[in-house]
Amino acid sequence: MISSSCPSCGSPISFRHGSAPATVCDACRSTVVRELDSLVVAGRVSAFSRDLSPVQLGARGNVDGRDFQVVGVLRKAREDVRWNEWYLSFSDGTDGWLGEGHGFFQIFPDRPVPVDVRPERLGPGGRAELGGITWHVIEVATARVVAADGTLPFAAVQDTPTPYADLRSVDGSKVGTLDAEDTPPSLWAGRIVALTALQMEGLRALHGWVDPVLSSFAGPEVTAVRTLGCPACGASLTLRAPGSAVRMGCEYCGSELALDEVSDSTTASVLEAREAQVFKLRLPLGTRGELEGVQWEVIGAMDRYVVVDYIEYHWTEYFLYNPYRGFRWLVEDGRGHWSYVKPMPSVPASAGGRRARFKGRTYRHYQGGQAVVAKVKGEFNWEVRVGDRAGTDDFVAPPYMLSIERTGEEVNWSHGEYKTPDEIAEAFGVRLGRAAGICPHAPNPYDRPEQSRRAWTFTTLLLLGAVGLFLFQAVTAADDVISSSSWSTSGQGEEVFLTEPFEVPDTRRKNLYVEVESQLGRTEAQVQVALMNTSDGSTYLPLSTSDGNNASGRLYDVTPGPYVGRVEVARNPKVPPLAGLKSIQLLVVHDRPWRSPIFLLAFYAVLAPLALMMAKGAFETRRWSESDHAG
Amino acid sequence: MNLVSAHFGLGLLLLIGGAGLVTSGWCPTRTVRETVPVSVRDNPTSYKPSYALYRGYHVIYTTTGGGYRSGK
Repeated sequence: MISSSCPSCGSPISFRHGSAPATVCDACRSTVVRELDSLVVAGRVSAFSRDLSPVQLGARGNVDGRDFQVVGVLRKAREDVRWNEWYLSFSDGTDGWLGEGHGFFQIFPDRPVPVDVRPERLGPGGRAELGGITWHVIEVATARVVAADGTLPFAAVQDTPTPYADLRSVDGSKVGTLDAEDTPPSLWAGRIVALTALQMEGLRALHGWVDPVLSSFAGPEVTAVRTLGCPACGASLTLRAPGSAVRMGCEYCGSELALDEVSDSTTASVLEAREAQVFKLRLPLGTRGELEGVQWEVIGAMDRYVVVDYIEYHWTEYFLYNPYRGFRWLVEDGRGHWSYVKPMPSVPASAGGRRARFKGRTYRHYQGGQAVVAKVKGEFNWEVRVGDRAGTDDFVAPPYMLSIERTGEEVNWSHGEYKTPDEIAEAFGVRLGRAAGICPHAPNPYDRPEQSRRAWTFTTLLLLGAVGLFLFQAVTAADDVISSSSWSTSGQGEEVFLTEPFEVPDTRRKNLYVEVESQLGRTEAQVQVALMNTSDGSTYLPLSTSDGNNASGRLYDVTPGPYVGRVEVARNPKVPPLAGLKSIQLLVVHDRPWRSPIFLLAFYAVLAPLALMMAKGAFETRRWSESDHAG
Repeated sequence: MNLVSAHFGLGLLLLIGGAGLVTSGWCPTRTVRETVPVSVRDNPTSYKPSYALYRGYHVIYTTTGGGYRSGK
């Protein structure tokens, strides 16, 4: 670090990175530049407000095993949009940048590559081959410096315009900035990071916020909330993300406001005045809740809709903020289903037609449409207006959803995860009703792996039980034929046949299987069987063959002892006489296995997986019946 | 308790019931049981079954008449 005195006011100044030629004097806001052995004032620049970011000068971190310290900051603006660029001094003597905007942090740890293409020559939405990487051109614009602090690699002067282009690599792994600050322009290649991944220490402590990972803070706690008056209705409004918010919907009158930073405060101007707006939120502005272990605050909400067959379908998008983590969305689809949505810094690996692929998961196109903003409330970090339209397409892989929004030449992808009303109610401490219908990316309740695994486990156990019973029955059942008789009948009038006496043994299983077979037609005669215990007179009539002359039946709890079988043939006189003799056979079996319950058990065992498969299919049919691809 | 558990619980009951059936030899019985007098036991041919089981559209035609019902 090189220390000196400000050539403008004499206050002490320091150059915190060895090769950095410029620094901003804290006292007089002069940008002081080293030129050979002298210091000259290049211009003046506003101070960076302390409540605009959790990052501050002096904070330290590590990226790819390299330690760095934050030594300077630029706050830049394009129209109403503002962002921060933190200048990093690495311990190995090199430098880099940490970009902060739109809720993302982007690290550029390596030296830039000079390229012969100026940003203005790139077309937004197109592709460019720069520095050996194929890029999507996200945005081409001119930024101006609105504030600066600390040591910088060039002289930052208020409102100096700098053309730039924001880039994303086609494979989604890199972000890039083509900066025309230098000649030739510099291509900075970096990546999206989280502050937690940078192991940041010495961050600014923001009042009311804690983080499960970031716990090393330096300096006094800062209240990162501003208040301003609504120029339409005069109400006092709370600005919860002063470093990022550019638009606001007055929560009292509904007027649309544009936000502007003036020194350490924020002012609002009316874009569209309204007298009253009914926009009730299930999660009121300022409500905080914890999702995936991180606290989020509701700072804005939008009512949007699409029109399908002349019917408006509305949903509510809640804008969530955490100064250390950026922005998220909670989307309530109008029927009580919720999605926790994260902006996607990278585009899916492939996305076209009816499929999109992201992180190894294939998403199927569900529906597309023109989403229209109907109402806004609270603050937003982009220039949202009521009536804004965006082409949307949703791809689902339950419980996840990929959404793409196209506005002009800007394309934004987001990734949502389904949440139940109970999860949201518990996270935010509110009461929510039950959800109705099926959400496009709601998990199929019949497609849970553990459920399927349990069903098949139970099925296997029951089938094993059935097989065990079958084997036990086969081994232990006597299945003993104790009487087998046959006769011939001429079918003349009534005939009675008797079997030879037989013995029903006295065993634990006192059951008989009785079967009669005859050649008689069902209209020719009736055959009736009786088994008579000739010892105690117990007589059983197990069979009547009025429905046909072949039949079988079972008897349980039969009194053991000597038996005789009696077969009675009653001829029907209304039919012509029989032609020739007809045979009749009677079979009596003791303890013949009755297998029907075992087969029933086996059938029941496979019922659960079958029912699950059918229920799963029915759920999917209902899900897709509301899509663009309903059959 | 979800449906799968309920299904398994019911299946377990069926399994236990099936084991009981297999062990005891129980089977569904659709029969008429009656006790006949000694005279019929001695001459089973004379037995006349009751008509309780009969469900056909034609009656049993008897040409000899009688049987123990008639005091034979």
